Amino acid sequence: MRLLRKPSCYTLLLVALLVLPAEGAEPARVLLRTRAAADGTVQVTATVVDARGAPVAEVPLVFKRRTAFGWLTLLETSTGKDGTAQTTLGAGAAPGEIAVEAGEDGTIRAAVLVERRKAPPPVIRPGRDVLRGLSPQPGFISPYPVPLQVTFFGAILGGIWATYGYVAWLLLRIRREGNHPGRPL
Amino acid sequence: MPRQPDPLSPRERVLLASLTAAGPGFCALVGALLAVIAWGIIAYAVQLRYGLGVTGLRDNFMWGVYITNFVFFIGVSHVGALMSAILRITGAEWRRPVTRMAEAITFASLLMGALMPFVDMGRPDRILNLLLHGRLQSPVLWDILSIGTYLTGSTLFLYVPMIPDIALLRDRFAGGPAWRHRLYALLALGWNGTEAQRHHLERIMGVMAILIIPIAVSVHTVVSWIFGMTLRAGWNSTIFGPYFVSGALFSGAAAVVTAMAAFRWAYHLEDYITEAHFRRMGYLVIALGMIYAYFTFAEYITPSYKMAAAERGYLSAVFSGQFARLFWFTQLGGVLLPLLLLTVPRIAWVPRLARVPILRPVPALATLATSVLVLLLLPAILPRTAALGGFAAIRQLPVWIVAALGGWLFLTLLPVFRQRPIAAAVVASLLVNVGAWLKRFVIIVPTLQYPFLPIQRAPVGWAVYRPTWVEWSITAGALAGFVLIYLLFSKVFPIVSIWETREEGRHPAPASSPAGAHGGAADAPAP
Repeated sequence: MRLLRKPSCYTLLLVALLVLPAEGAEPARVLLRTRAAADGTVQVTATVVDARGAPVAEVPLVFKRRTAFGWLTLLETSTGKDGTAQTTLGAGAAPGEIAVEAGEDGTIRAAVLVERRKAPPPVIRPGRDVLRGLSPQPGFISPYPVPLQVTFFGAILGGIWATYGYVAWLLLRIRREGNHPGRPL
Repeated sequence: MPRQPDPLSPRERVLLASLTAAGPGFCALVGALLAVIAWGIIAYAVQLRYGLGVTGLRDNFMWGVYITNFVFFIGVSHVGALMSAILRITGAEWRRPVTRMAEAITFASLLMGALMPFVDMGRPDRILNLLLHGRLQSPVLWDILSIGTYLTGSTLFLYVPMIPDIALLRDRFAGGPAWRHRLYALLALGWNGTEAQRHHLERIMGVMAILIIPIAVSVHTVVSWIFGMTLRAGWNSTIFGPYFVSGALFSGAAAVVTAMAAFRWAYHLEDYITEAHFRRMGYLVIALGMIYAYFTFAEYITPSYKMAAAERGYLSAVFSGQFARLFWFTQLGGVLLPLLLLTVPRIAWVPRLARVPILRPVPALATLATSVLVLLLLPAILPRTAALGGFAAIRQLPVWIVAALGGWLFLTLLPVFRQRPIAAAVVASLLVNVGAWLKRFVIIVPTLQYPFLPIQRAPVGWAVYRPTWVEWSITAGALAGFVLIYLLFSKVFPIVSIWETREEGRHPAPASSPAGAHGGAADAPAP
């Protein structure tokens, strides 16, 4: 009891309270940060902090994306010891709003707009190399039209439609013959 | 000075009368077809409003009844152009009264078939994306290009031989309704039958008859590649192209037989479409059916011999599981039975069957009908017999009893069909077409139900495809649309070529050009 009367005891208690980790502190805000990688992906990092700005661990988090049909859940997770959680958006993902809801009832919310990213060039190159099987995905699976294929289709379709054109020309000649017998087109 | 219309023979007058005569039967049929189409449009509006969720289509079942319809219609469309072109080139004389019917089937079924993928898309506002963002490497884009090309070609192939007939109608209906005269005057291209015009027409027909054959074959081959280019059990096949083409020709030839019988009966075309035409078309259906049966056997024997673990589920479901009834009906009822109906009645001992007491049609049919009625009604009259009768008892009958009853019925009806070869051909062709539609369903759905990676964590009911009323309504609407287009076509243009059937009488000797080739009269004795 004598110890409690000493002012130094209260000072020590105050210091201990300040130094102790913020475990069990109530989450107050979510901070969002995005980082675009060279491969076109975007990493979204959410940090949950309490009222004093200290990170809060093990807080349930939901990453969502706004779509034309409503909010699409991307990831359900919890913050780590450093109070953060991450998700990565694929290189082909369309730009849009990403929201994070924190807490048991998801009342703490933050959102960020992910801009359109420049898609990286496909790894597979078109052309003869593809046809020769040098590419890991040879043949028609190439993301680009294969020149030989374009030529092949062009020749066939072009030939057919050119013949249709010839037929149309002959039909015109029939019509001309009907209107002006004996007169060449 | 108005042109003098050509004098018409009595049978040509009958043919032209079909263009103007519209009795109560015709009006009732058109009304019924319009009602079904309207119901289909309502169903489509529901689908547009609420999305594809109102159908049975789900994540794993992106294709169902709509794509079944698509493949079926494209298949039926084959025969018109292809059969007509081959018969023209080979100079088969008997083709003249039936080629236009076949070509019109191509036109009507292509229109309906081409609609189906758009219905399946669910978002018609994204149709342009198919072209804007389509990849030339994708069979889907090949399909769009080939169907567009085929539709153009088959329309030309239908239209060009009609020009002389349209000119005849232009002169004949000069005093008729203004819309008719204007339409005929526009489409007749000023046809006077001059030497130069006939020369151009024959040249066009020669070019188109040769060109349309590879186009028609390529269209259904490309349709098959939509399936065949994927790595899926049941679709990953090298013979899918010829398999689809043979099936398309088989079902298309059967559709022509049905159309021949319908128009012969409705428009009194007995002078044009004789029993010999049905006999020859029957030979064609038999030949195509045997080719199709061979491809079917080859298609299924290869994977079922190996029974690879990844394909076992699919094959078991088709041969003995969920889809077994459909599959075996398509093979027995859609191929074997029609071929038997077209061949067996011609055998010499068939009339003797009628002398066997248990094979007399009337007693046999009466016995069968009474048995079925007793089985169905007995449980309602005597509740104690509930376990013995009812619909469930009939469904649970052993296969050998069903087969024996079917065989008995078949033998009983054989002498009847021998006396009525046209009825036999029509029943066979209808069975072929029902079987063809169901076969497309069996090709599409079981494969989707048994992917290499099993369907997991899908909501209840999503792992099995069950078409909803929306899909059935749109399907019924499409079928009604096909029949209506065909029917209206026959009311605007003669369904039998007048000028070609005239030439048939004038020039019995063989000719040299595809547009006017001859090769034997329809009434010639069968080989």
